Amino acid sequence: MYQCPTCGGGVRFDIASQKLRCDHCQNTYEPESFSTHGAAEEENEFSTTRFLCPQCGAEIIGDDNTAAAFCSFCGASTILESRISKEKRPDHIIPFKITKAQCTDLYTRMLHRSPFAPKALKDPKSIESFRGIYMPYWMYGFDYQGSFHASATKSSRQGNYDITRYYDLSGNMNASFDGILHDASTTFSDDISESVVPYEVNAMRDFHPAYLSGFYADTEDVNPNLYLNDAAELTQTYTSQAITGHPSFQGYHIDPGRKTAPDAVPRPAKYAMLPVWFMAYRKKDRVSYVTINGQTGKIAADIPIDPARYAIGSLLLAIPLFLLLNLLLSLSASVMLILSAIIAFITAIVAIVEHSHMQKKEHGDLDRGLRGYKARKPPVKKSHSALDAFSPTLSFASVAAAIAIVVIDPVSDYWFYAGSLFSIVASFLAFTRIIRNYNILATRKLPQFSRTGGDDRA
Amino acid sequence: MIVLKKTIRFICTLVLGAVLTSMLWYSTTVFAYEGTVTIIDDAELLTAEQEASLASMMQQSTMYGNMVFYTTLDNPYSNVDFLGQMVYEELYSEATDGVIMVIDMDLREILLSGYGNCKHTLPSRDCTTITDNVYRDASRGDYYSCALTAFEQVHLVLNGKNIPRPMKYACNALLALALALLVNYFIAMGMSKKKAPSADMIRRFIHYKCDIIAPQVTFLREKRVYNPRSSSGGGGGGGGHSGGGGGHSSGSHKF
Repeated sequence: MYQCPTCGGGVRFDIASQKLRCDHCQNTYEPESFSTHGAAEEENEFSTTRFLCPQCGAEIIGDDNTAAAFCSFCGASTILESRISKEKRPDHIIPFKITKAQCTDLYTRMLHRSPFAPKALKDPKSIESFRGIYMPYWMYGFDYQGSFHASATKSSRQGNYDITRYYDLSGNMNASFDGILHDASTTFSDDISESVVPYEVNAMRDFHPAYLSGFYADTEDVNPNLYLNDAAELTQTYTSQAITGHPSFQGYHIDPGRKTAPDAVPRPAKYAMLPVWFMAYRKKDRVSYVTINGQTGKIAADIPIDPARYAIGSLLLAIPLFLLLNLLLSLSASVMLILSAIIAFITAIVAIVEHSHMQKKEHGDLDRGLRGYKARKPPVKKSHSALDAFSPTLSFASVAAAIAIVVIDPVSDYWFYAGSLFSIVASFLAFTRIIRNYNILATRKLPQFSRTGGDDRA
Repeated sequence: MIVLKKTIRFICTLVLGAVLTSMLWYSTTVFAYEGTVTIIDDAELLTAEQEASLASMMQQSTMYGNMVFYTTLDNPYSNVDFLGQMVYEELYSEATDGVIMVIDMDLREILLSGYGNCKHTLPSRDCTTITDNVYRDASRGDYYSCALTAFEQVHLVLNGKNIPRPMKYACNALLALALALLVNYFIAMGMSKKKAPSADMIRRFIHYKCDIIAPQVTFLREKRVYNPRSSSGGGGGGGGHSGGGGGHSSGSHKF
């Protein structure tokens, strides 16, 4: 921890003033004014304390001993093992702009707009557990220099003739992009890290360890080449847009398949620390993450559905829907059957898509950084619940029954009502799986980061 | 929770408005004359006593318009609704207030239609409900009960009373619940707080420079394809069946 040059007290980064502030005398100092010992050594590394969670193996760095009280990634209240370590020095950092009070206010307002969120997420103890963590990101830049060509057409009509004129659009391109971000840590899941961006890269500063005072940081363990192609593709989108949007080329229909442009020349990826307010809410063997962009206040959060609240909300909504159906419409038996079958079909499709997505997420297939890490471990067998297969099958069976009833068109309405009932019961069953799988998608398994520790029995 | 309460309040206001509007609509319809009862049993489904009893039942509703009961063994139109319209128009005009019930033994279908002001007080949804309620009697061959119950329920509706719809209420309740579950699921998904930024959004935050220098457009070649437009015209909207006010409510059911 850095010490105040005036009184010797501890200094922390103060978000409001964007400077280091002494806890005792309240004097403020520029972070860069604190010199680092052994300058040559500190060019590539800096000294800090590394905390290791004995339960999940997650590691976090910081200079504040309260990190020892609980783990931010698995939510466990446990004493973290600590040791002094030398860490790779990042190139840049964006300091926190959102204070903890602003963060909790944003979070509380978000919960008010989430009618089915579990009540436990509003627990003041959970809200208090928000922790400021600098997340590692790779920052990519590209240059484009050279000529481009594109085939284009213009169509018109003259009398009885359709006229198509073919053109070659050409020119030179001089483009540069910098600040495209992808997370550099396997502990920070892609779905969260890609939702909490973007960051205003203009506010980026050269890294100095003093910025970490009062906060924590995760460290990079993902190869920068992993996301290089993604970043390049994004810039190619922009160069294409620049060509098609240029005033000289307005009114021409450009053939996207017949275009040549200069190749993207990547710059060396830079390592940046970006601010995130991070909270883990743990329930049994699942954990939800709430992250708030520490610069812009954008929220990326796992919000599961409380089944009881969802059921009550649905019953309440069903009342006006019931009145509408009875007062304004009079559905014949066949129309009712068709509507029920459509609902059953939609729920079956939703259940299948969700289940597939859930399998990929649980297997770590959706996190590219983790996929590379898990490639070194033996593959985990995907689990299938019988009910997950049964419920969409039942829904499809009800749709088939509905089609059969409509085609046969029996005289008695009871066939149609029975078919409707079958479809609706199948839909209800599908919904129990849909909500269950939604909550699995909205949360995550307790992490196991066996980088240097972790519980292999979990 | 506050948003949910406001949403519920808004939905209830809408529904109440719809109910009041429909009540107002029905209450402004006025009936002014005594109609007649006509029974044409070409299919000979009723005995003389049954006809007399049915006529007595139908007489109760003549303050609202003409009451017609028609049966046939042969439908030359292959459409029971059109048959009912032709029969009613032969007896009265389409604009005259009245109700007709048809039992078509050819297509094995029963029909109920309202004409004139009765098309408003006995709308199609009520015609459908009544035929749904009585078709089983016709399926069993009890045409007298079918007709009698139908005109009893017509009388109830014309008097502004409710008719039984047991299966409908049960199925509507379940359907409403299924719809609510689906709607709420999509609401929860829409409120999901994990949305990756679009490419346009990202562009606003990164360092971005893209200059196009010396843009050039070079003409290569031209292709001409002969494609004469077909002559417009085909005029004559045609259609527009039976102009004039008209129209009627109707509901039918096979038996």
